[in-house]
Amino acid sequence: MPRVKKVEDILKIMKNIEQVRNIGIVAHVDHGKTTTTDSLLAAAGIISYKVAGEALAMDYLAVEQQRGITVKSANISLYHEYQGKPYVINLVDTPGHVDFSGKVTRSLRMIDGAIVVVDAVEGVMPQTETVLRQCLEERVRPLLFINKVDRLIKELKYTPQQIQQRIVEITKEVNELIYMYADQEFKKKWLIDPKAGMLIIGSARDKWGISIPMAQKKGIKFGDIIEAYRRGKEAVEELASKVAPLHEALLDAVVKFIPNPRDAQKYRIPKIWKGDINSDIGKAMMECDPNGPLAFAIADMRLDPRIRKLVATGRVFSGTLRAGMDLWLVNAGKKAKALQVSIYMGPDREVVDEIPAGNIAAVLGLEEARAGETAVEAVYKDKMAPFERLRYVSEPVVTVAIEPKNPRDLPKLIEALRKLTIEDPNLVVKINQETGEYLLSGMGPLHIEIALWWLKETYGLEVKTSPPLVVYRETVRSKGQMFEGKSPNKHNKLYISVEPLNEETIKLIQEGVVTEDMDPAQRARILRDQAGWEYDEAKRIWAIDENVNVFVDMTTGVQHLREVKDTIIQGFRLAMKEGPLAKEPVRGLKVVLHDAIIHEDPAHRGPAQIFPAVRNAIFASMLTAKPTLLEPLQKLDIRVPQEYVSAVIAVVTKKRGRIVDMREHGMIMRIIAEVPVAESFDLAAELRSATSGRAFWGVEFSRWAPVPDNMLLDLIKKIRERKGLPPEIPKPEDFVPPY
Amino acid sequence: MLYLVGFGPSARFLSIAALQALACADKVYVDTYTSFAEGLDLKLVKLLAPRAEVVKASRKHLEDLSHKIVDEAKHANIVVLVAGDPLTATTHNALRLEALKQGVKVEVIPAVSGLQLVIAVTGLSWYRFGRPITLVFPEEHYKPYSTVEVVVDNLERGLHTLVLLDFRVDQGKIMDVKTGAKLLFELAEEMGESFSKRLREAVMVGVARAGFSDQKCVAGRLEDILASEFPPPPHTLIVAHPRLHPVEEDLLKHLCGFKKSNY
Ligand SMILES: Nc1nc2c(ncn2[C@@H]2O[C@H](COP(=O)(O)OP(=O)(O)OP(=O)(O)O)[C@@H](O)[C@H]2O)c(=O)[nH]1
Ligand SMILES: [Mg+2]
Repeated sequence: MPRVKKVEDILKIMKNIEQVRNIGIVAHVDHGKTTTTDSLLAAAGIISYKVAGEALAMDYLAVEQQRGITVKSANISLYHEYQGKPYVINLVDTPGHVDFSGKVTRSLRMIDGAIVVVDAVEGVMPQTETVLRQCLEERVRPLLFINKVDRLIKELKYTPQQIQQRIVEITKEVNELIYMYADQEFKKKWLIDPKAGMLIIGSARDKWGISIPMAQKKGIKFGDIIEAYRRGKEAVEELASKVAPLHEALLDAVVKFIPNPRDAQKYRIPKIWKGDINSDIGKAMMECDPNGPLAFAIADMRLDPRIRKLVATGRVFSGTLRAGMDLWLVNAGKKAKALQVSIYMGPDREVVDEIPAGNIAAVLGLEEARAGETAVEAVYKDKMAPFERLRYVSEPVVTVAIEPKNPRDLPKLIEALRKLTIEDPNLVVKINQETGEYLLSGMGPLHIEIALWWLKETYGLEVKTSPPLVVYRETVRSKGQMFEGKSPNKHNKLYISVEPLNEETIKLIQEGVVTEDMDPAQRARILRDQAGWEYDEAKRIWAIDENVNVFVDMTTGVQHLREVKDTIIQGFRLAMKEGPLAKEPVRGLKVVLHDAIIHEDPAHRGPAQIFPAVRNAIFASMLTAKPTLLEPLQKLDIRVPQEYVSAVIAVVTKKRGRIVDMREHGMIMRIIAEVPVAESFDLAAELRSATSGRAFWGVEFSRWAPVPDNMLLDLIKKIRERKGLPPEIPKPEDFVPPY
Repeated sequence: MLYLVGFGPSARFLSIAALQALACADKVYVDTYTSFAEGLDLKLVKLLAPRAEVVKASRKHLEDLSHKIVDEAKHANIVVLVAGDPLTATTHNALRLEALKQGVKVEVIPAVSGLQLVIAVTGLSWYRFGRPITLVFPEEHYKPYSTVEVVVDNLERGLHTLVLLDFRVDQGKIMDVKTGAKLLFELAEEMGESFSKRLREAVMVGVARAGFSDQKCVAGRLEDILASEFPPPPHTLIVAHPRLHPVEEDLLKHLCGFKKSNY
C-alpha cells in the first residue's frame, strides 16, 4: 500500500548520499515509459495506487494525454525501502519520440542509471538502440525491463517456453548493443545478467513485475503468471499487489545495481565534464561533496504557466544549493540569484531550504539560463569550466511559416515563440527578412505540430501555417579560390578561401568531442590525431559554429586584427546562417583567413564594415568550390512479414530511398532504409496501405546527403523564389565586384 | 571630372575655390553622413550650384555605389561636397582612388578641417598630440577597448589624444562629449586599475561645435565635464596629459575654464 512520505522525510534521506539514486526511464515510443513511471509513483505515495496505469500522471500536459505520447520530461523524487533501509530515488521521465531526442540527451546528464523499457511483442526498436547508445555514451548504467508480457500471454497465447525464448532473444539483443556501445571498462560489467536480477519482466499496465532472484525467493514460475491471467482480473491484481509488485521489482534492482551519486560521479565526471578534476571544484564533484563549492548543471528550462516564471531543473554535482544563493551562469556569463529552491513531487514542486550534492533540484530566479547551462557559486566565477556543450543527435530539418490568424496578435505570437524556444532549444524561430514571415523549425513534422498545439493551448493563439518545408544545408565539394573581401569603405580587406571539412572533423564536432570552448592545444591534438589536420593550422581555429563550420586564422602579424577578432567571428557566424545559394544554413565548411588589412581607427572598422567583408569573401569563394545543397535523410527501421517485403521496397524506391540492410528475424523481415525527408511526408500512409497495415517502423534522422545533381538547380530556384529572391544563383562577382 | 570639395565647419568659411567648383557642377552629392557643418543644407547648395542636380548622399551612395559616381564623372562635373575637410574621412579617399584607377581626373578642394579647429579652440600645442582615435558606441560582440589603449598609450608618452566621438548621422548614432567621457572611464575601469588611474590623472577637455558661432570648451576632471552644459553635437573630446606647458595651461584657463588647483 502507498507509503505517503512527507517532504521532510525525503529531504532527510537526500542528505545521506548512499541512500540516493538518480535514474531515468528510456524506451522506444509507446513501449510503456509513462505507464511504468506511474506505477512507481503509486508506490511512492504521490498519487493513489489504483489510478496509476490510467491517470498517466507524468503526462500531465493535456497534449500528451490527448496523443498519449510524452512530450516534455518531468521529474519526481520517489521513496523506497530495500532490506529495511530507506532510499530516495530521483526519477526523470524522458521523452521517447525521435523528434525530441535532444531532450533525452540532456536529461541523461542528470541520471546515473536507466531502466530500458522494451515492449515484449515489438522487441528492440530503432529508438531503443538510440537511447541505449546515448545512455552508454554518458556512462549511464542500464537495467532492462521487458514490458507488456501480458500481451505475449493473452494476445499471442505463448507457452512458458515461448515466453522464455522471447525474453532470451530480447535480452541477447540488448546485451549486444551494450557490448557495442559501452566504454571499455563497462562492456562486460554492465551486461544485463538476468540471474543477478538486472532483468525485470512484467506488465506496467497491470502493475506486476518480477526478476529471477525475486521469482526464486517467492517460488513463482511463468506458469503461475499465465494461470493468473486465465483466472481473470482479480487474480492479476492479487499478483500485482501481493506477489510481484512492479515497483518492488524495479526499485530493488535500481538500489542494488545503480550506483549512488558519489560512486557514479567518480567515473562520470571525467567523461561528462572537461574541467580539471584536480581543481577544487573538480575534486568536490568527484567526491560529490555537499560542503564543497556549489556546481549545478541545468538540464531543463521551463516556464511555469501559473507563476509565469522560468524554472531551471538540474543536478547538483557538488556543494549544497540554498535559496538566496548568489550564482554565476558560466555560459551566459551573468550573475543570478537562486530565489527559490524546490524538489519535484509529481507535477508539483515542493519548496525546500536546501538540496545537497548528488540530487536533482528545481530553481527559480535563473531567468537568463538556458538548458545546458552550468551554474556555480558566484565566488567561483572564473574557476569553473562548463559541462560539455550538450550535443544533439538530430538537427532541425523541417520549417513552417507561421502567422497569427488575427494580425493584431503578432506581438503576442512573438513573445510566445520566444518562450517556446527557451523551453525547447530544438525549436528554432527565424524571421525571413524579405517577406517578414516568422519561420519555426523543428526536428520533424510532429515536433512542429506539437509546438503549434502548445501555442494555442498555453497562449490562446490561433495561427495559420504554411505546409511544412524541408530545411536544406549549403556546402562545398572542393577547395575554393581565395577572394579579397572589401568593407564598404574599402579600407578593410580580408583574404579568405573556403574548403569542405572532412568527414572525421564533422563527426568530432557533431559528437561534441571537439568544441569551440575547449583548450586549443588539446583540440589541435585531437584534430591532428583523428582528423588529419596539421597541428599548426588546428591551433589557429578561432570559431566553430552550431552548424559545424570552422573558422581558421592563418594570418601572421596583421595590425589591429586582435581588435576586430570578435567582429570577424560574428560576421562568420552570420554568414553561415544563410548561405549564397539559397539562404539556407551552411554546413561542413572550413573558412580560412589568409591575410587582412584593417583600418587604424575603430570608427572605420566596426561591424558595419567588417561583416560584409567577411561575408562577401566567404560567399564568393564558396561559389567557386562546387557548392551544393545537402538534404536530410531519415532512417527507417521497418519490420514486416516476409510477403510484404517487395511492397516495402517498392515504396522506398519510389520515395528516392535506398535499402541499407535487410535481416531475417523468424517470420519477420527487418528492413533498414534511408529516405529523404522531402519525400517522406506521406510515407506513413503509403507504407500502411502497401502492407495492409502489417508493417511496424521507427524513424530517425540519419544524415545529410547531397541533393542529386539533376535536381539541384531546380530545387535552388524553387527555394529562392519561395524566399522572394531573384531566381538566378549569384556569381562570385556579385559578392566581390571586379572594380 | 570629380571634385571633392570641402565645405569647412561652417558656411562662414566657404572658400572661393569651393564656390567656383559648385558654380560649374552638373551634379552635387552632399555628404550627409560622415560629418556635419553649420549652414550646410540642400537649399544653400542649390543656390550655390544653380545648374546642378543636388542629391543627399547616403552611406550607400558613397560606399556601395561609388563606381556609379566615378562613371558619371567620366562625362560630367561631379561634386562631392563634404562637411569639414574632404580627405579626413576614409570614404572620400577610397572614392578618389577608384576614380584615379579609372582614369578620371580628381580635384580636391581643401577646407578648414574640424579637427584642426578643435585643437585650436583649446590652445593646446600641436606638437604634444599623439595618434588620434575614434570612440564608437559599444555594439554586441564589440566594445571599443582599443580606444582606451591608444589614449593611455599616448599618456604614457606624455602626449595628448584627440578622441573623435562616434558620429553616424545616418544611423542616429551621435555621441556627445559627456557620454563619450563617461564611456571612456567605464571601459578603462573594466580594463583594470592601470588604465583607469591614468585616465583619472589626465585633463579632460570637452569641445562642442568648434568653428560654429556657438562653440564651447570645458577643461577639467570627468566631473567637471559631466556638470557642464554643452550645445548640441558635433562634439570632440581631448584627453590631455596633466603635465601641461605653462602656455597651454594659461590658455586652457582662459579659454576653457581650467583650474590648476584641482590637480
Ligand atoms: N498491454 C499492455 N499495454 C501497455 C502496457 N504498458 C503500457 N501499455 C500501453 O502502451 C501504450 C503506451 O504506453 P505509454 O506508457 O504511454 O508509453 P510511453 O513509452 O510513455 O510512450 P511515449 O511517451 O509516447 O514514448 C499505452 O496505450 C499503454 O496503455 C502493458 O504492460 N501491457
Ligand atoms: Mg510517455
